[in-house]
Amino acid sequence: MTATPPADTPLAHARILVVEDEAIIAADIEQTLRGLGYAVVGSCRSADEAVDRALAVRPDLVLMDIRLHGPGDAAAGSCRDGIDAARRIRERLDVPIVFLTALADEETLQRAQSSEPYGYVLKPFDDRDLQVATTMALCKHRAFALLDDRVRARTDELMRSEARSRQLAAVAELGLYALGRSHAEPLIARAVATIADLLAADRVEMLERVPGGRLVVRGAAGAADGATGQEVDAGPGSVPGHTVALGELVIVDDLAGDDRFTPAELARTRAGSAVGVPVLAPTGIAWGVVAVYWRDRHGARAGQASFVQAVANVVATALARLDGEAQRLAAERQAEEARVRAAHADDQIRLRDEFLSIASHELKTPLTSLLLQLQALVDRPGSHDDRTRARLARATRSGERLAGLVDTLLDVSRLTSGAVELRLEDLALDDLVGGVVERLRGDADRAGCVVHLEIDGAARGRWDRLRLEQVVTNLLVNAFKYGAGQPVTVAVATVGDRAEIRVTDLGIGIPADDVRRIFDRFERAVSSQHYGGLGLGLYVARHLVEAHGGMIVVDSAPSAGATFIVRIPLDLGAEEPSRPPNAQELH
Amino acid sequence: MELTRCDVMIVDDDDEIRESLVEVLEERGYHATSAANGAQALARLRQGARPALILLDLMMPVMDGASFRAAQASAPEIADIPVVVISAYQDLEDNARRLGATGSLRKPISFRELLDTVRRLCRGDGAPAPAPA
Repeated sequence: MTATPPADTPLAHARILVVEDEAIIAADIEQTLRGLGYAVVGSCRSADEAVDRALAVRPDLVLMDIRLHGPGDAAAGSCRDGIDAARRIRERLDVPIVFLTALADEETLQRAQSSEPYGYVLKPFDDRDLQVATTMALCKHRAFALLDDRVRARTDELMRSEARSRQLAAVAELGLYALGRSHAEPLIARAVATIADLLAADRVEMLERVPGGRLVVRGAAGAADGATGQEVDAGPGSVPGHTVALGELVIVDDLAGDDRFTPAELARTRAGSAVGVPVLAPTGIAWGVVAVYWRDRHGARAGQASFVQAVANVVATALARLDGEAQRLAAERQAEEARVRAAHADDQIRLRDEFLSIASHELKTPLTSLLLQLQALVDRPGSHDDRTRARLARATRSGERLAGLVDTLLDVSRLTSGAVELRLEDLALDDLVGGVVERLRGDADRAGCVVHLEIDGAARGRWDRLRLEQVVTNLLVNAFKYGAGQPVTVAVATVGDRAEIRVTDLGIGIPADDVRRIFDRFERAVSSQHYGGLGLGLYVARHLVEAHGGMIVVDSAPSAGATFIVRIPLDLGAEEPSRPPNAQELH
Repeated sequence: MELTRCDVMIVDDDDEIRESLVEVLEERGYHATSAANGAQALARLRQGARPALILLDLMMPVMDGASFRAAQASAPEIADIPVVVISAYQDLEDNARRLGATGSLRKPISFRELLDTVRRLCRGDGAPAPAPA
């Protein structure tokens, strides 16, 4: 029964080296092996020759006679016998060896075993013995090899996953560390230290791109330690510069042999291999780069690069957060400053109002007694001659005007601070206007103006009585001043959902260019030398009308008189804003 | 001059105003007394003074107008005396309302308004209107 190894297995054409000092036996063995389908890749007569030959042809199996004649014991360093040769071969080659032996003594057998043989063929042997021994040896070897591969693969995998979990843990730890930091420096220092530690790197740098495209070391570990703050060549000849230019991961297996990089980079880093990873902000803009160097060539691997990338991402995220926080803090600081400024401005306004309020109070106190005395004197019938009465009346008017100016100053102060508070009540505008006209009859007479009142309906609404009285007063005083000696018409009407007051004089009128500015502070269309007053009347009127949600316009032409038209909503409602929405921006 | 004179009490810390008001009213046939602050006015009233009308300033040292009104309200025998608030402050009407005053006169006080007010309130009190001088 002649069993040959299956043709489709590697065993079928196994290459066998035969070591047998007896030529006849050797020839016999060779013939048998060929008959079994093996290839005989050599046939040696001596142990030393066997070692050389085995190393030269790398056979799949060696059939080795234990007892070999020859110069075995002559020269130092030669093999004593087949066992010696087997050991030498096994030291250099993973090849199964099957011993051929006749009866052997105990010591020889022990020596043979120590060389880990894959089998024995006892002399004399037949074809079948030889076939069984060689097949078994080849199978065993292949099984061992497979097992070995698997164990090695498994071991590698374990080591890789162990390294990966250590890296993951390190990234997570770094992320936690980053959360607690309010400054970038310690985080960057820790990031580069982590990379150096876990990747056994010899040099790690984290560099920031600064304006001008320069690269500055922000954190360094290993050989780069102490390089923080230094500037690094940002050209494409350095690993960091190249990474920035490329905008993606760079793995350099052999820095010296890679002509993308300059000798300067080599001299600077003294590295054999490197990895460059961009540090990208969440916006995608490159903050900078991490460069990792190893002294050895082929030190960088893809798995390491992805770890460096993960660390870079943690740093980039933290930097973005710190940046956002810095911006938020800056915004908060600005808001706080604005608030303080506003509070200060409020204080200033409040102080000014208080001052003006007290000042006007103080001014009015002496005015009160002065006017009372004057008015009482004027009013005392028959006690003065006409000239005295006229002088008293003039003095009274001066006092009254002074009182009016004090009121106006206080009003303007309140208007400029936007603090017009309306006290709304149900009013009939015709009564209100009529009352003012009546009160100003003396002024009208003195100005030589006849006032015509034209009432078209009651015009009822909710307004601030004193404020509207002041508006009408200011317009009438204005009309008496500029339209002296001519009739003045005051008309009250309801137009849609608005009440309208028109005050028309036939005076000097207002040039078109001046129409806009007459409602501003201290403005008038004519020289103040001819017409007295502070020039505040229309300014105050405009603001009080606007505080009512209304508007005041003028229709005029030079020498054609002027008509001031006030329109205010009938239904202002108590919840309406009581200050002019644009009181501040008007100044 | 009228037979039964109408009493007006003036409470103001400013001497000039106080004296002017007294003078003007006396000239018009009223009987005017004065006090420099709320405490003085209160003392006069406790001593039995019963004016038909009190003209009350708001800002005064020692006892201001508001405190005087509170004290007045808690004393039934004088609580009903009408009070007219006199002040230069802008929120005069509000203050007058808050203090339950019968009326208010803004400083500088118009002579006409003063006479109208006093005449009206003295009449309301049952006192005969003073004849014009």
